[in-house]
Amino acid sequence: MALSKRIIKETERLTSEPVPGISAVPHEDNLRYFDVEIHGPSGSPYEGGIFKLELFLTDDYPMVPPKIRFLTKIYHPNVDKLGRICLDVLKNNWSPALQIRTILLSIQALLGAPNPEDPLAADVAKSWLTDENKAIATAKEWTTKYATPAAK
Amino acid sequence: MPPPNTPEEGLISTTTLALRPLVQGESVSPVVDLRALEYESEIDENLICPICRLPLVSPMITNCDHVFCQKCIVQAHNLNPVCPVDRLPLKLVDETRTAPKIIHNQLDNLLVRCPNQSHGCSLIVARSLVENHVTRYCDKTLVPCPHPSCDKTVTRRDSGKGCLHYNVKCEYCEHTYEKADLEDHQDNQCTNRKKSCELCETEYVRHKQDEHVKECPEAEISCKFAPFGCTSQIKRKSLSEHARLCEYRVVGPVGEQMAELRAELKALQEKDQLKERRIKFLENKGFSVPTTNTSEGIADISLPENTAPTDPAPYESRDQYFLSLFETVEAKVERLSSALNEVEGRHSVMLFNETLPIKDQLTEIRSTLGVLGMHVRWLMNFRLQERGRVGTSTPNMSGSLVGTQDNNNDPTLSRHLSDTIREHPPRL
Repeated sequence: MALSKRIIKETERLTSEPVPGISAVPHEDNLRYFDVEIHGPSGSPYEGGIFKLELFLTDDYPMVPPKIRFLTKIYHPNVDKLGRICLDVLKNNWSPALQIRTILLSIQALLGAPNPEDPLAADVAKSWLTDENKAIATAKEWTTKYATPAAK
Repeated sequence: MPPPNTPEEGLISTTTLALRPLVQGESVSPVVDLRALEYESEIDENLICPICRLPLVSPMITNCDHVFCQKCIVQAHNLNPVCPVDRLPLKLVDETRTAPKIIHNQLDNLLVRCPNQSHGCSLIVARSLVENHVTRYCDKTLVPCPHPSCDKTVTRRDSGKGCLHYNVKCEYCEHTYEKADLEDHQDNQCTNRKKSCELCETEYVRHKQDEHVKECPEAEISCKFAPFGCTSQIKRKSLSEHARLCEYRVVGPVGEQMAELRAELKALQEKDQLKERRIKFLENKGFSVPTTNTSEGIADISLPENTAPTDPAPYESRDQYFLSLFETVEAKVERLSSALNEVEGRHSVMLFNETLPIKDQLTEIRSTLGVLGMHVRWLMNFRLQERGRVGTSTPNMSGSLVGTQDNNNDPTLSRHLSDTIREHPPRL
């Protein structure tokens, strides 16, 4: 179908002109399922970390947003324990004009600018609001602990 | 991913088109799915739909100046009534319209490959023309089988060959295939399709054996000097070498010249024959002319019979004799008809000349007659008036004239007469 042609095109482009700091590779047996790696943006508590995510394009993509989830543990007010992400473009603000690359860029930006005002992980958000320095330290710690390749 | 534009896919696209709520300014073809086409050139990003990421198909522009495929924007709008690019609220009917003509033109000019590429059509054509190509001209398009009771499809190229949907056995692998698929099978799939040539040991596709034989370098063929007597059979690859050494090569050029000369001779002979016949014809005609002058018509007609026995030598065959006879007769008939024409012309002129004075005389007589009639009428009138005057001047002397009493007693008659006369005064 034509829409899966879009997926093929997107995949081709992700491979031929990858976004800096982001890689997305489809599974060989299911081209709608992607293994994603996002490098923590420099200047953020996640700098140096490589975060694994899974991304799945449903049959209705691009009319519905892709399903996306952190696989690597991350200390972030907008990501819960299960790795689910609170991001408007993945929910109400999804638009079929958005693409995998733009979504992944948004997630990368979310790492650089956590939004504790609109939390998903309530406890993380609370500590972020009460003691930001401590929260950032924890985030750095988690990044080193779970997201640094050498640590694995 | 199924091969592009398989018939099943075409069918699906048609049904989805029919289900769409909004249909206007259609350039979507029900036969060719423009979305499944393979584009030949790099496509400008501005001509790509932000939703399906393909070159736009029947583009629609929103009031916020974003362009989408009609199908895409309808689908996206059903889920969320905003512009997919800037998320501004969007009313599909009022706030979108067909994109400007220039966008349509740019899209129409995009070069695409024929969707039957997988069947072997290598045409690259503008997108606007691809449907025309596929539906009318492409040899590889699948069309319904020409046989009325067969509901399968066949490529257009084979559609003139009748129903090919019967099973035949591949003569190389013993499997059974439909006739329509056999060629493809033998060309590309049959495990036994290749055969190595016994002579040159290269592999070729079996059912193209005839073509191979014509070019196999090891096959033995006769020398090019064979017409001049060389009887040796030489392998194709060493043919040129043989030609250099062949004993008959010296004869070659001479032989060629001879053949040329022979052809020339033949042409000349034919020409000569033609001319001879022409001469015979002219001679015969020339001979007949003086005879016409000396003898009268009857003798003239029997002339060829007289000529034939006396001079049979010039005629090579009966046919030619009859031909010349016919020609003579024809010439004579022509002459006679022209003479006839002349006589006829003369006659008609004569007739004309004689009729003309008669005609003049006739008109003269007619005019005289008219004048006479005039006189008579005048006289009649005069007489009547006179008689009337006599009647009124002597009313009591009715018995003096026998006719007058009658006249008086019958006034209608007199009035009638005078009226008639009064009616025609200008004629007088």
